Amino acid sequence: MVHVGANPGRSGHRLSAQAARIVFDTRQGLAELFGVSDSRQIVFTSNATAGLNIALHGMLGPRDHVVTTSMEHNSVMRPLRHLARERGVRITVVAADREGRVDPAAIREALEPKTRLVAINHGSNVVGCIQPIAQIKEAIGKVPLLVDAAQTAGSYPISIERDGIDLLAFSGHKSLLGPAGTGGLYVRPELDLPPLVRGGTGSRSESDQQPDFRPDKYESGTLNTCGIAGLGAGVRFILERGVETIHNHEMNLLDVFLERLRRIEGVVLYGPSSTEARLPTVSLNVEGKSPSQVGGLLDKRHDIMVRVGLHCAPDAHRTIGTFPDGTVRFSAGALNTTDEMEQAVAAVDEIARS
Amino acid sequence: MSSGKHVVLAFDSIHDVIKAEKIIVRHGIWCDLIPTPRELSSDCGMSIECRTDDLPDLESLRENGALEWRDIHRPE
Ligand SMILES: Cc1ncc(COP(=O)(O)O)c(C=O)c1O
Repeated sequence: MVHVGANPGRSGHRLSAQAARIVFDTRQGLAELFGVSDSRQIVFTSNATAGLNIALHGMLGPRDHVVTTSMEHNSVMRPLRHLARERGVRITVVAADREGRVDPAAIREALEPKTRLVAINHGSNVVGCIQPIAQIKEAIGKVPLLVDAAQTAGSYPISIERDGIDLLAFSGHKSLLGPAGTGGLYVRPELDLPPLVRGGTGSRSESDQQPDFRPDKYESGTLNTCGIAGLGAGVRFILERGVETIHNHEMNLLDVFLERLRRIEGVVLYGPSSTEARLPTVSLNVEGKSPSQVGGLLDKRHDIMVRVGLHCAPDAHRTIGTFPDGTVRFSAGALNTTDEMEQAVAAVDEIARS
Repeated sequence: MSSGKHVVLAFDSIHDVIKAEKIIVRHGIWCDLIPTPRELSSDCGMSIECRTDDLPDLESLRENGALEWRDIHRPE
């Protein structure tokens, strides 16, 4: 990588070719991980938010209708509210239950003749519940489905073609173990989705029109080649270990964590009570203390870093009843150990007693 | 690509170039990435040079769907 400071595909020299091979290999790895047969349908973006914006802006025209849920991140809700103002897009927000789960039948009931898109957060960044993507797609039939896989990519199995997913955005810097500034979007080949950004692609340079072939159509401007190389290493690690193995490991950690937390007096847990269909993301509060107080003590006294507050998802906190103060959110990953979970429990225990 | 001993395969995107390169190399066929020659307009910056002698093998890979290219240039 040190020697590959060239722009992939912009010139014919060896370093440019080497950079292009790195990008290609990362794309192939992602396709394998997500169950996509032609990796050209996966395009690189700077994060999940950028991919979600391509999908939402490209799919929703004047007065179109969109169905989404109360568990969405602001990276879906804010573009949607903007499109409502700018294009008269109408939004139906389907409420999740107190554990954060959305009923596919409720999604189907929200459909209208002009529904152009259903947008679903696959795994909640607040309480860790997984939405049943395959059942939701079955329930909505031909209406295109956009999946926000920011939290699930790399830690929960995803099978895009098998489940009929039309669009899927992911972050590179979370469970895919890549660096910040990486992410991407899958676009089903049959979807006629306009790009959000147009410009140089290194292809069809004689033309002043944006190419309509992928991935170039959606990848104008210089790619984050260094970041994509790092993402490639993360994806290789996940493919070697296996996403099921990683998920099982994370569920073992979660089991330990939840089981011990339940024994601590004064700790309130939110979200699903079992490890069924969920991520190792846990939201809690300690009675008598604000989330930020707890977060501050965890950091300063215990060297444990968590995110407190609303986690960019105010509606999700309304759903679980923790708006406007929010929660203290723990999340475990592929590289965490049982020991570390026990340390975290001991820290919460000490804070709850203090 | 100055003589009739070589052909040049052209592609839409650099992604397609790298994919084809991997397939050609995997089949033990010699190839080289080169800057796209001027004669081939409307292409991405890189193309693949192959030996004319290997053309039948390349064509059969293409026929069975293993290999794709958009254009082929055969210098006189
Ligand atoms: C559910 C969800 N969607 C979208 C995002 C945004 O991801 P990114 O930071 O890669 O744009 C996040 C990250 O916080 C998230 O948790």
